[in-house]
Amino acid sequence: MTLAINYLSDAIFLLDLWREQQGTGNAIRFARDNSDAIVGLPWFAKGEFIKAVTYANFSIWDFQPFIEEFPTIVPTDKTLDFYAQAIAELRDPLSSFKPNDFWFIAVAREHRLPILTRNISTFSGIDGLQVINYGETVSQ
Amino acid sequence: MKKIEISDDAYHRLLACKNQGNVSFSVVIKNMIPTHGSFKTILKTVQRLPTPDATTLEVFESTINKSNGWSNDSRY
Repeated sequence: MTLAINYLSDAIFLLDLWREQQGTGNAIRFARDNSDAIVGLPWFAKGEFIKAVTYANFSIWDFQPFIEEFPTIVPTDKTLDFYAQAIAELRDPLSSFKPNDFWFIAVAREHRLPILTRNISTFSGIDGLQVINYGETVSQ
Repeated sequence: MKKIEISDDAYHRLLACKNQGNVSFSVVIKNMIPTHGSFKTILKTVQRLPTPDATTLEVFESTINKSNGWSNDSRY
């Protein structure tokens, strides 16, 4: 299945867009350089951002118009297969991967979407995964 | 292929159906250009959020990182 989405991002990317709201930074710069691109969030990443909104004592209604701009990618039966496959492939006694990392990898592989993140240390070097470090984006 | 305009909510519902394996919607969604979600729109909506202070950003980042089990060493 092909989604009408160009990138998969984590919740930190949304935070960075907000952080850079009044000026320029790597997240805003990436957005400007890719203005027609659509960024989707896996269900759990969007949930994390909404949780942070609540923890910081903001009204979710203030953030709803912003959050809704990001299509939510929900799990399918195939996602579960990719999740299990990622765990089997990447687990080891000293694995630094957390459950959400495996979900991210599963969703990215299933939909063949590049991951937009600055958490490069976690996702780089994994087979079948394209990782874009927007933290190092250079303005064009 | 007939193109029709649908609401954002309807688009998300179709997308969810597609992701549930209901392939009958796939052609509709593949040829549909959503009216939201591009950076062009996001850059406008982010301007309308409350202005964050350093403490708020810290709470956000640590909450998200904690949820993921990530450390804070990936920050700027």
